[in-house]
Amino acid sequence: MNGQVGFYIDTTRCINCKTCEIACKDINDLAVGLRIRRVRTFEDGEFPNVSVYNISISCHHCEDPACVRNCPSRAYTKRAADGIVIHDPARCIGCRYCSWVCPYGAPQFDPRTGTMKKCNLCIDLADAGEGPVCVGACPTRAIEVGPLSEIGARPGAAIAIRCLPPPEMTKPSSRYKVRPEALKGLNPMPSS
Amino acid sequence: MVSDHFMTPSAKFADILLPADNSLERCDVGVPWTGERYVVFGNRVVEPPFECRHEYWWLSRVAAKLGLVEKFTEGKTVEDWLREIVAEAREKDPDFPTYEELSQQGVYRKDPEEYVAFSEEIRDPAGHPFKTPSGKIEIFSPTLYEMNMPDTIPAVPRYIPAWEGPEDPLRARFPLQCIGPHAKRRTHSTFDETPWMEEAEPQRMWISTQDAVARGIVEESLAKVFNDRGALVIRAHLTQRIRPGVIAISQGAWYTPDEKGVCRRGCINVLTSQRPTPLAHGNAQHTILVEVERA
Repeated sequence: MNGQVGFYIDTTRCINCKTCEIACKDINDLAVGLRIRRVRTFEDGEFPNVSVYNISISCHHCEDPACVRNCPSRAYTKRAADGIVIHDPARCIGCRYCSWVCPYGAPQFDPRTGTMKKCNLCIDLADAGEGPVCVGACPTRAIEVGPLSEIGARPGAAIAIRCLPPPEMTKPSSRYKVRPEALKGLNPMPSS
Repeated sequence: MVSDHFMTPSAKFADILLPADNSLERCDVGVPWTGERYVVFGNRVVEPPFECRHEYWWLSRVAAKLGLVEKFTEGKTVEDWLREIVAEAREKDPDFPTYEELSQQGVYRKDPEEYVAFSEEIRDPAGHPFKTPSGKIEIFSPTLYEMNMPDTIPAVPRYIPAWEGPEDPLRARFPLQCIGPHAKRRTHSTFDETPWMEEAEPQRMWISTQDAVARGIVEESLAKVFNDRGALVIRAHLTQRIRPGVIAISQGAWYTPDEKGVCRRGCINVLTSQRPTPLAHGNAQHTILVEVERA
């Protein structure tokens, strides 16, 4: 996928302020219970030698997306030009199967509509020349969106980090800037 | 007498409760907290609904009942006062925008100046003495000496164990120190009522894993935190990021007592003391000993 875009998350800058979560909820008018962008905190070590990092995750617009593969009503499409995975609520039957197979919790069921909600990289704003709201909202500029060919080639850009599912499952298009402790003890692929 | 936007714990105690307008419903000037060089202007973008009012409106009427309306208002509206403030600022700083410009721009700022404390006193001690009796830096302070409270306000700096500190015998009953950091999702108590904020960062007690395990407390379980002054119930977050022997409950959660007076929301103020600090007579809000148990 030459034109695949992805998120570049600088976990060395993320201060866990949750502004990206709130900006995403705001633009998508989401009720409490839906966090289609969510910041998670991971700690390592024992007091006083503790390290912490925060990861902001929405959807990874995977190169081999489990949602696209498994949706019984084919409500998911992966765009050819940029690889963004789009959900069509008109086709969605609200079975939530995608939420079972996505390793990252990206699709989330919205009881108000009976369909799933997921990050779509704010493609509705792209026509107005605006980028995803999480990128602009982040006060430390920890989130970027760019061509995977570029962000993946940045020195130290990690695809696999501790506490996240192994990238071999769906080939996520997100890359991370991390401190070394985030690379220890990576999750292995599931046995089945 | 309370004027507020929400039914806050203070509002619940009010004899008279008035609905206030909020910052989107009034024009106002804002200045920075710690002396940075900018001023912001907030425009009224919507009229206050129903009977919500600017405090100036009803305070002027109270002043009238007290025969003080002229002295209080000087005959000026809110906008008159704002224009006067801007005019005074323009006298001191010719670059300061007009009222119209400021309300258009929303902000006026100047580049920060480098500030070094006591730079004038160091550069020119004779011309700029320190604000001490001798005009010099004092290691021994005659001012403090004359207060004659050597046990709590020594004239020469020395370590004095705090009450409810690590050396207080009260630790036999309340072994854990409770600190009250500021949560990201509130500004003090503001925004505690906002559901999205609670979802982003729920009110939790941080407790070290070993202190929690010793008490049979697991992640997200309810814990009771108490001392002789009060008690609260709060969900626990187990972490290595806090020192064993210390717990943290972020300040600003709204006091929500049950029928026994136990706060169900985790308002740290039920645990704090009103004992003032020796010199500043301040609130020693992190000087709290507590015990924690499963709720």
